[in-house]
Amino acid sequence: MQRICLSSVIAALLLSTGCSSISSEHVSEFSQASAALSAEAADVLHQASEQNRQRKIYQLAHEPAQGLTVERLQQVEGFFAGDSQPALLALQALEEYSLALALLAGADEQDEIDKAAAALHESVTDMSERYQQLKQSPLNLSASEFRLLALVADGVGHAVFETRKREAIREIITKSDPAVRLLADAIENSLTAAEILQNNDLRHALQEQIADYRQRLHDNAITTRTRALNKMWQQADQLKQLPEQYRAAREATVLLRDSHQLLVAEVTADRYSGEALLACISELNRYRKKLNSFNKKLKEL
Amino acid sequence: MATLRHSIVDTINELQPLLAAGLPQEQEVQVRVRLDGLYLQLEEVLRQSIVPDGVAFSDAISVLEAATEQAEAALKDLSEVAELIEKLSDAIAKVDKIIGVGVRIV
Repeated sequence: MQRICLSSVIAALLLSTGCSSISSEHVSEFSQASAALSAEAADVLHQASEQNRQRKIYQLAHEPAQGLTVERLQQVEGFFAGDSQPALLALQALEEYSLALALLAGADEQDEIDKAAAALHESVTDMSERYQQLKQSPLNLSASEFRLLALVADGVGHAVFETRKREAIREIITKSDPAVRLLADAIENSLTAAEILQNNDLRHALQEQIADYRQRLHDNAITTRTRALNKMWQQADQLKQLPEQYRAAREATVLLRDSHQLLVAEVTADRYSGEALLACISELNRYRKKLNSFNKKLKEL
Repeated sequence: MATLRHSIVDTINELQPLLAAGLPQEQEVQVRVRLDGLYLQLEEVLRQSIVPDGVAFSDAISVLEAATEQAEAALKDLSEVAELIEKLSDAIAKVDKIIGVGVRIV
């Protein structure tokens, strides 16, 4: 009888340790999913920028060859490589912030906490800079949150360690939320610009190929013509899918913003695991897969 | 309500098929130069926050719409291209008054 009671106590202890580990995993998994989705959304902007550069190469091909110089070539750059780069930097900052948060949530020892603190410091500084650029006011996130992290594991037991870690996670997530929301809104605007440009640029490339096809129609063999037509068909098909792709990318950005707000609400209520977080993780992963599939198709063109 | 970005996009969309329409070389070059000017202006419009009001704004929208209609006509009848080229120059100059990047077609 005594043995059974002891087993029950051990089982209960294991179960409680297990629950604590699961809760960290959920925040960590959530953050990893956010980071992966941010990276896919950045890829959408990269693709648009690359298509824009390609259109400028067509433009260059029609200019008198005497004007071609190294300097002229250096002027050719995609839209998101120039003055519009902050949108991409904002996405990068969001991705790095999410990765650092995942690192913190998954940390079990002091050196892991230290690494996470350093990564968080860097990414929040980045987010803060982007926030200031966009909002013209500083973000209310000070270094005190990172001092809290440094104290987390100093000579304390697992339960205290976990409590302090949660406290740090809650502080950082709550104070970063205005920046996450603002950056997500700015990214959404950039996606609208990217869609307009990519639609035009892809159309332009197609018209150039159609012009070329018409000019060479009688010189080329049937196999050459069908090869050219297949390539054009793929691009025309992609053009047709652009609105859907961008709708998904915009929804993904809204999801990144809203799910971070949900995370704030959950950790404020001291819920570090549960159905709400799991549903969010699943949604973030669903959009990541969707965007990944679109991005792959575009890269194949 | 019409926006500058949508009006420029509409004009560009109507111009693009002309690239494959077999224009005489001189006219094709002139259309291309203007198309490139519109692309440049579109990128600038996407970077700026433009308030859609004022006489200059409505002027720019109406000349862009006129150029778009002319591009449609030119695609059906290539003898309309000369007039299109004029209208495009006008539209680019009017848009430049709003965005101020110094795009000039001479």
